[in-house]
Amino acid sequence: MPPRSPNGMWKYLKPCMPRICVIVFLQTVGVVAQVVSIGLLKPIVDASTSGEGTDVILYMGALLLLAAMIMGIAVALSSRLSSKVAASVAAMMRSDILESSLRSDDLGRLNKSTTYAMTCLTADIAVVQEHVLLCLKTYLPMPILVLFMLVATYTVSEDVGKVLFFTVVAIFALTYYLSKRITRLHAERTDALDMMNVTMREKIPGARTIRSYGGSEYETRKFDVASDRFGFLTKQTVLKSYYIPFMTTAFLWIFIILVYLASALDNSGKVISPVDLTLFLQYTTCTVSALSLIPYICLKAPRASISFRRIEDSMEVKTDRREGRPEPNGFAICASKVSFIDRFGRHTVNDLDLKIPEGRISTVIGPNGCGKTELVDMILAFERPTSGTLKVMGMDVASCDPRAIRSRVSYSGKQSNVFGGTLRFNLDPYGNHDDAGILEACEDTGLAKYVRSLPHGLDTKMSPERMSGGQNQLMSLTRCLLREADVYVLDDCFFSLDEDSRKTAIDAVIRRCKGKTVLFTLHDTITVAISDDVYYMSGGRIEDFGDHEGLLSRSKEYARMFNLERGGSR
Amino acid sequence: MRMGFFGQNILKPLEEYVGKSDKRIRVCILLSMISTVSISLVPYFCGLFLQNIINTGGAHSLVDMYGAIDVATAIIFLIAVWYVTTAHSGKEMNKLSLETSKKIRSKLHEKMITMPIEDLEKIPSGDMTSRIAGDLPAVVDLISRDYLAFLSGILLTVLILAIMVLVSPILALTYLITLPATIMVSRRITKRSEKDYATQKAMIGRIDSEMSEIVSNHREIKTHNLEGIVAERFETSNRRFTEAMVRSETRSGFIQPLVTITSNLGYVMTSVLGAIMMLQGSLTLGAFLAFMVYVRLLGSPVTLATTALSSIRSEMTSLDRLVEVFRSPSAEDGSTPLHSAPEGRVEFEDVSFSYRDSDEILHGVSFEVNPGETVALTGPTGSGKSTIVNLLLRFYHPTSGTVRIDGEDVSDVPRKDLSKVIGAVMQEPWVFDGTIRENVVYNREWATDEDVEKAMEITGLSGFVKTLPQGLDTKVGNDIHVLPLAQKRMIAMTRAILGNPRILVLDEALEGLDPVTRLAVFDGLKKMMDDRTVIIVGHDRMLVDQADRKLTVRDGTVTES
Repeated sequence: MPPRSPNGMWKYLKPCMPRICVIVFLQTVGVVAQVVSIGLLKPIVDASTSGEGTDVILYMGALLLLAAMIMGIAVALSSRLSSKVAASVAAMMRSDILESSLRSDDLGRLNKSTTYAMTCLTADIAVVQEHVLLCLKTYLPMPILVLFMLVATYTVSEDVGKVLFFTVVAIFALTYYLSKRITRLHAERTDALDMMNVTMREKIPGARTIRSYGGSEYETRKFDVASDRFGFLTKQTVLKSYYIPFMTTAFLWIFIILVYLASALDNSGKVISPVDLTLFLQYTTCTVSALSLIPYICLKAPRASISFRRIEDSMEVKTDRREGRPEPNGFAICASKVSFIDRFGRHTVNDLDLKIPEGRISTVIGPNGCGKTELVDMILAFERPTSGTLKVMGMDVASCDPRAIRSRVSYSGKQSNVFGGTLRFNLDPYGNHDDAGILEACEDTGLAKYVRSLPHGLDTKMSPERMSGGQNQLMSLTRCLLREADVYVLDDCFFSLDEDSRKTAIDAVIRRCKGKTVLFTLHDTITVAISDDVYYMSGGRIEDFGDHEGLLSRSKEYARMFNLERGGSR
Repeated sequence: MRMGFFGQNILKPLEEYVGKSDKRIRVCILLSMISTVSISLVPYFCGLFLQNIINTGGAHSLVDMYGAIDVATAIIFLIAVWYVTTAHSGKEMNKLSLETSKKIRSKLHEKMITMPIEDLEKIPSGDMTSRIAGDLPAVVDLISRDYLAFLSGILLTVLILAIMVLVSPILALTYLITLPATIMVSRRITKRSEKDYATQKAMIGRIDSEMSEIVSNHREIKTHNLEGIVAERFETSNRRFTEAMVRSETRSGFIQPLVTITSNLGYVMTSVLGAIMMLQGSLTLGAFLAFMVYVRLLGSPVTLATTALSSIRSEMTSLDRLVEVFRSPSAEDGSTPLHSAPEGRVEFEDVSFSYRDSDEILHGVSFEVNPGETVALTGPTGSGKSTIVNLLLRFYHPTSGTVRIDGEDVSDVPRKDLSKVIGAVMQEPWVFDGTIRENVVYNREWATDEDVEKAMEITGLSGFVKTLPQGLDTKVGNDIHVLPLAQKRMIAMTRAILGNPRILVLDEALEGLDPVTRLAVFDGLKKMMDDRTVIIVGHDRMLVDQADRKLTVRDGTVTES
């Protein structure tokens, strides 16, 4: 486990510092008022026993009332401020997590946090938020109170004060030691919880497969393993931390008794008066009730610190600043000696050379696993070549800002995610087009029929479930074509469409992308006839390229592929 | 109000999961009562002791010392009793909560694998996550901590009040004047904050699913350079969420200060009145001092009870959110077993279907597929082809009409039997976190490496596996180590044919494979298809051409072509 960075939490508390100072001040005022209200008992009793009269008592009572009021107001105000601080800390964390997830190039490659763990972090945030709130509202007065009680006890009797001081120190030390010990267990437990949640959440995307394979018993067995491990670790955490916190309270009570005994046996002649003893008993009662929060802290502090560490880990996304400048060279895409090794350890792209001039329609074609997907990932700057250089519109993907590259490239892919929100937002997230413009594009691509079938047209709230694969691809294509860009990368984005829809869609691409660079990457041959250049890719390199006719006559493999596609000779 | 004054109804919705442990709960409550009594007696003994000192005007004699030691022994004994009972009952309750939460977890999981698909797919994944990650631990806290804390807090309060009445009825009455006011005000506040908590939880669910949507769409977002817009949209909901959170937090946050204020008012009143009573001689100094100790002591259990109460409020809404999931309908499993040697005849008779609250998608569809026959379902995008498959696989139920396999209504066939007859390759292949072997074998542990190898040969998966350094043991998954679509399809296909099913359903199964690969897979499948019923969905010409018959689905009706 990495050591806890001391600056971590500070980053979030710093902006709230003025508020926290006010809270500390208010809590101190509250504690002072409480101490005063206990201390005022002595003059009241004195006034009563010496027979000074009712007015003095009433005067003291008024002071007492004042102290009580001040205390109440201080507590109320500080609790309101505390919840504000806690909520704003949580809000900052949420923003930061989101920001870092948007900054990283590929969340899937972060081993520490899968995309699932990222969403699970919301639970961690809740834990941290609660902890901050409790610290400020409930725990913070405790040390202040204890401090004042110590001082107050000390003024009553020096020896008793000293003993109380050491007792409190011992209790704090014990608490600290305990929570340290539990922290490790908590970390394991949290991991187990993650595992369990992953197996639970899998049931949604896997619903159909599980049901069609009668896999409910299998899934239950799998889940029980995860659930049992979590249960076991929870048990360890809870039971290990159980007895000792209560001991502290018992400890304190016994201490009080000892003081009583000591005072009873005090032969020095300096008798502690009953009133002093009562005051002492009151002070210690206050202290005990404040310290009774320790069991809570023992359990909650480690939980919060683990949660916070997980939040921090998830934000540890390394993003180096890329400040490369574009050097226009007339090529939309220019790759030289590009190689790439994927995360499974396979050499997917080998010494690839590819030059696609601006303004042409090209098709990169090849069988599954020929390296097209990886090439597209590099063009979109999600991956960097293991060796060699790849430039998109003159920008080196290894050294230029990915956002700058992506602003020149419009992409439509195999499977597209649907954003929550209206269809309008899904088609034109930038709001660059009016409804007429969007609908026109829909007419072009063939999405219009779907739009018309929706109850609220463009204003319909979208959910992925209500879309078929084909509709999804048309939506993604329409979105891609509505974007203003130099290069349009259409990555295998027609396969769920039937023949007629496919034709309409491809026509729309040609019409709307006139004069722009269009790159189809496919493993079938539907676009070769309309392409200026065709690149045949196999084994991670470009095997051959040229126009369709030329390739057909030269490359046997290409010809086989083409003919298969036409349903001709095998 | 959902819970009785002493909270006896708190665990009611949980009864099913707490089950026979009821007796253990009662024992725990009894133990914690004993512990409460013993701890509240401690100051009483201290008071006795105090009285002793006052009476003798100081403790100097040996007799007094023995007396003092007696009292001290009694007190230490009480504390020992308190410690043992508290620790034991707390430990028992924790164990109980562990067991209960395990039951709840299993129940949640069971629900997720038995729920009708339509309901399940409606749940935003983040919402479910927040129920598991947030609400479940809250319920655990309810059982293990807050329930007992609340009970013992209340009991301690009552006990101390009783002792106060014993010491001085007038002073106790004065102190008690403030109590009804506290209870009334805090009740009103808790009632309102209960509503706040429910909205708060729902909002957490919503913001969670918003976050998880962004995270799972992050690639899409980046591809389109939408980071700014998305972040801005999220900021808005984040801010709104925070404001609402603070609002409701503030309301329930007032309970504790209110208690503090009123208990302090009581303190003020009693100390003034007590002093005046002493002045008039109607109260002894010892009684007064003891009384004041109890007044101070009362603060702690009252705070404990109210803190626990406000936690319980929030935890109850968590409990509701869990119970809500439990109460959602479960899909019923059929009970008529299929013939042990199924033929593989598929019949649709006048089947209509519509999603809940939507227009009808299929209108009186009837067709038949004979055993051993290969039938292709083609038709334009969104015409209802996949719906037919969904009905055959019993994911949805027809609004009217029947779907039969070998003459049995599929609604009556147990899912287990159905899964042995039909092997289906879905439009969207599912690959879960685990090795490739685990993904292929799925739930059929009888399969040997040879079986797997054979199936992989047919689908062409073996070619891919050979290029992997770790072969079949390569870890693949949904979130990390995501495979390309083609390989996911191959895994799903291998999984389907491994079971050697009588009926093979290929729902756009070869889409996304290149012609050469497709041919290889196709050749393998063709060998299998010969003696089996096959239903092909899609417009893959190569596959469709192999069909004995073609059915065209158009606008929710099926015609032979």
